[in-house]
Amino acid sequence: MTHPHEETLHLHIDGELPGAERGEVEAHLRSCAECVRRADEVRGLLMRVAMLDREIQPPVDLWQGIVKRIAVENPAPEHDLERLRSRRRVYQALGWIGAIAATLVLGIGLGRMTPGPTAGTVATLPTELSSDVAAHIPAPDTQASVAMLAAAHEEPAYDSAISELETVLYESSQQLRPETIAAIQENLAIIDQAIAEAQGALLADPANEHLRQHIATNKQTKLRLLRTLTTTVTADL
Amino acid sequence: MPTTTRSVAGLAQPEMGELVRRSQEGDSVAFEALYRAHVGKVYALCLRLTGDSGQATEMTQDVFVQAWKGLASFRGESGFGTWLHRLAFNVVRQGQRSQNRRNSRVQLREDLVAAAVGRSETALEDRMELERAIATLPPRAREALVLHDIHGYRCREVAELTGSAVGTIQAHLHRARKMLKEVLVR
Repeated sequence: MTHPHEETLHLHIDGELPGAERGEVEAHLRSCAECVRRADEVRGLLMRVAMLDREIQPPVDLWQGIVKRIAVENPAPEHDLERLRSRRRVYQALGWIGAIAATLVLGIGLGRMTPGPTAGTVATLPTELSSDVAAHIPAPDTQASVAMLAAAHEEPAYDSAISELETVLYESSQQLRPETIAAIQENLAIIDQAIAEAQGALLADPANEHLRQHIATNKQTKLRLLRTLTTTVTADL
Repeated sequence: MPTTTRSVAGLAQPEMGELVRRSQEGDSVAFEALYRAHVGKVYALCLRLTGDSGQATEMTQDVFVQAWKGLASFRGESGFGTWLHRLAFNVVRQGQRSQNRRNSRVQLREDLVAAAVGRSETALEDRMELERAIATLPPRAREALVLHDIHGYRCREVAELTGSAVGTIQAHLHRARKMLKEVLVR
């Protein structure tokens, strides 16, 4: 056999030559030092190339960007990524409730009207919740209380406690400046919306205990806020 | 979100199949695991085919967004990695057509330095020289060399991936190696 063409040699090295032709090239290589040298040169190059990394990590983590793009380009509500993002929005919203509550109480303290009509014109306000309602509201910030809250928040008594305090607050709202009233209404609406979103998410994912406890915790936050607001508003009465 | 990266080598085939199946059902956690297992290979392919880390980053994102959208069409005839590579290849080709780039810019240094942590200075210089030389190859020759000699695809598989004939791929491969040898001996 004459010296194989360069391309034939490459095909032989890659194992791509058909049987008969492969035999011929192998036979030639057994007796031709020049072609062995040429083959070794190609193998040497291929060994260097084969040492290059098959995997190279991008300079930054691309995952968040991919999630955002998929959420924008693929907004089907049943898609898991969309559910994941909406659940995340709910958690973020609920997490802001504490900050809103603190701001609201401060705002009420600063925004109260100066004493106006005499105390006699203001309805007598209860300073304690009715005992059957109070019995369902456990102390905050304990693990047991959170678990109890998880059950308690579904109890009609829990919602009735909130409703009772809202009534008290709104009945005494004539003591407050209009802008203060507006601030209270706006912020309570934010809290209510966040709770409603969480309840909506819970409908889609009823086994989600974390979500359930989150709702319970934030209903209690709303309850404490309403207590504080009513106490603040009625303090001088 | 998982913070560790498991490469393809770290995932057994049945595990990969399970992740694909769950991803097809909309499981984003499973898809993230697939992303972390394959992103290195996809990015490496995009980087070498474009020679530009900015483009490669953007294209790698494109690949996974398209993969999520097109998961339903993955039937398992080829491996998931190969399917991703086919996507990556198409994304790169499309990007090159729309940008009308004929010559790639060599901006590989930072990525390669990051990948070479722990290697000797000589080994790093050798790799840098080789990567630069590969980046100077004409596009089709570079594709054939990267897919065959670096990523280990057979000529028949490269032909399928690129939509070319096997003989054409073999010719491109031969040309790539010849040009590479000439560049490296200069």
